[in-house]
Amino acid sequence: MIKITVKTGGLLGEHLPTGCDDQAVLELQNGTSINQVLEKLEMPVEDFYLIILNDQVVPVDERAKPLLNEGAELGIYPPLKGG
Amino acid sequence: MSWQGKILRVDLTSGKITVEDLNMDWARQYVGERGLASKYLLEEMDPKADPLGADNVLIFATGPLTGTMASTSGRYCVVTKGPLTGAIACSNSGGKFGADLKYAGYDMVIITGKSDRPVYLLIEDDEVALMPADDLWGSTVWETESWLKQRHNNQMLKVASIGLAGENLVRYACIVNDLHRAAGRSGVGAVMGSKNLKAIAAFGSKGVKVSDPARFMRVVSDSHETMQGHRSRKQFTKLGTHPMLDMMNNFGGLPTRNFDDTRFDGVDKINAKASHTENANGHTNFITNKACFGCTIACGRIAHIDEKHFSIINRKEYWHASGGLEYETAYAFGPLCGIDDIDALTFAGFLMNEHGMDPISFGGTLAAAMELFEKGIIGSDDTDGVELKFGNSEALTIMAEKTGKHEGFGKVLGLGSRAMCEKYGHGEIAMQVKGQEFAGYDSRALQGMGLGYATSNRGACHLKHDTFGPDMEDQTGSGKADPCRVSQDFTAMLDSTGLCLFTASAGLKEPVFRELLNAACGHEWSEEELRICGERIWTIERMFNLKAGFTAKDDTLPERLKTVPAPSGTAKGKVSALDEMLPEYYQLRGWSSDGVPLAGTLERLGLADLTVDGK
Repeated sequence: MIKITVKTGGLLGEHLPTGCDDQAVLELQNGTSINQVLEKLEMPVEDFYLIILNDQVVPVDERAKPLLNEGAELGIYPPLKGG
Repeated sequence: MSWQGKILRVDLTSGKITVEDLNMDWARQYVGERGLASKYLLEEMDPKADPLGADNVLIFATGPLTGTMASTSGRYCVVTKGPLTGAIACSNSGGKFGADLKYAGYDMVIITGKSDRPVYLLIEDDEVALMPADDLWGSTVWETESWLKQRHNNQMLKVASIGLAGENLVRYACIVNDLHRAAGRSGVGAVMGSKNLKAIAAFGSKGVKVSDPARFMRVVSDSHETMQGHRSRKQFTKLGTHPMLDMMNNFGGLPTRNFDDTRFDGVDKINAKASHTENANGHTNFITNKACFGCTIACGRIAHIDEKHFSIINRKEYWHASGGLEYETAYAFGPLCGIDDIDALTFAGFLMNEHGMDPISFGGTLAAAMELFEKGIIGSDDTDGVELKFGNSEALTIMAEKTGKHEGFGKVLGLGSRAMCEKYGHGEIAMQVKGQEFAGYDSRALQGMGLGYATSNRGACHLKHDTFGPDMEDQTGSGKADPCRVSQDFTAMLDSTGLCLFTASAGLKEPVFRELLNAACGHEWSEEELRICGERIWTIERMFNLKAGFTAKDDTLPERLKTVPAPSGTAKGKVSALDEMLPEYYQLRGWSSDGVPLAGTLERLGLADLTVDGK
């Protein structure tokens, strides 16, 4: 098992475990992919996401790979634009 | 049809007011608002004219969907030659003013000349008059709006006015309507000030007719439903644009301390969460959201400042609710100036609305002044004794007020970052394109954004294209030129309809906008025809600038972004790849390597009569 920290933006904190605000520590099986984290958190599937793993952007085609390690920091951000 | 078919023409030199028919061929080629006003501007003025002289033309324009039942239909824009940049200016605003101008029966107001005394323009349907404004000159935006409503005994009057900044020709003065919505960028308020025009007050009762009401209402209803269920719409409603601060900070694209860094340590103290959280005094910054005319998104923020905060502790006149922090204001006063005091940011925002100034350009200019100060190029003798150091929240509020009132060092800040930094012999410190300061996205982290900044016809601007998706997928210059070009053309079209750009972020797609236009206007644009409209609009703006004397050399970014690597975040070590993207962009546009539209391109767009050295 590994522990990672998930940070979210916008309203996505609503999908974190109860009691969390916009970030949470998750315990996961070794080898869990980012897509599996999105699925576990029931993030809306129709959205485009900016995914940042340990200060690196993760493109869509990398998100099925087992990139998560112990202590990883995973940022999940919805489509946002400034005005 | 939903165009009113009429233009109100006001010559301030002679005082003559006339009404003329809208050129319907141009309406179909340029749609309305931004596009149509740009066409009239190009036809009616010499692009080389002094932007603050009598020969500049100032156009207030609505779109064919302004004032209709379509969501966000309160938009209008101001098109003129901008004094901050010397380029074409197109500043778009919401609120309710645009709809009333349309309801009075006019698609556009074209203002020429210069009045020899302060005046305001009163429009009440067919009754239009220039009224003396000597007693309003020197008043704030908020006072002007209140007094005009009282004077004409009409609380339904909608007012677009300038404050002291516009009167004093602050180069980034804006035009504020409905107290805290603004045609904000490029100094359109200074053009109004230069013409001695204090305000336009409009009341309309004529409504707007659409060509096919049943068809129109079907697509209005469908589009409301689409937006209602869309996650981005919900986010805008609950949090506005403020959450972008966390996202850009974690991404590492948040310009900090005049672009010295791409992340800001104090972001937790000024972000959306902070604005919704009680401070030690039990005060919460955010009060509620607010919608513009006909809007079902309601991204606007209403906030108040802690009465115990240093900025207003002895100033009860500011103990009230007003326009709160949106992303760009929070960025420009916060990270860009290194300040993490949410009440100071909010107060400076109030001052921007009260005196009529663009927060992005003010923040960018103040940040440049702070760098000049920190490097010892200017000292406290220059800055009225104020320590202009990054992080000094008192310096922010003092200088916002001084600039608005045109006092002391505020007069220098009112020049904008480029002219100010050149005055002190350090033009390289000004972070700008064509004289206009940057929005809150660092070009080293968002490569397509950098290309959009460099090629935007009104100087650095984040609202004239949309490459957020590609920029967040890949941080190289590869594959950015085409999405930049395509989104510039699409945005030019959407800006010309009378709707807000946020409709596209909240789930509406091109077929919806086309169906709204076709049902409202009684003209059937195909997808390709509407795309061409957007490209045509972008191109005539470009032609205006080329005629004004701009060249490809102006399609650039500050050296700092091209040579100094991003110090932190996902783009750590990267610089802007502009020099790689720009040639591809020109080629895709059908422009020469010097950035001039080729004859075949102009012909394809129906612009064969335009040449750089011609009219």
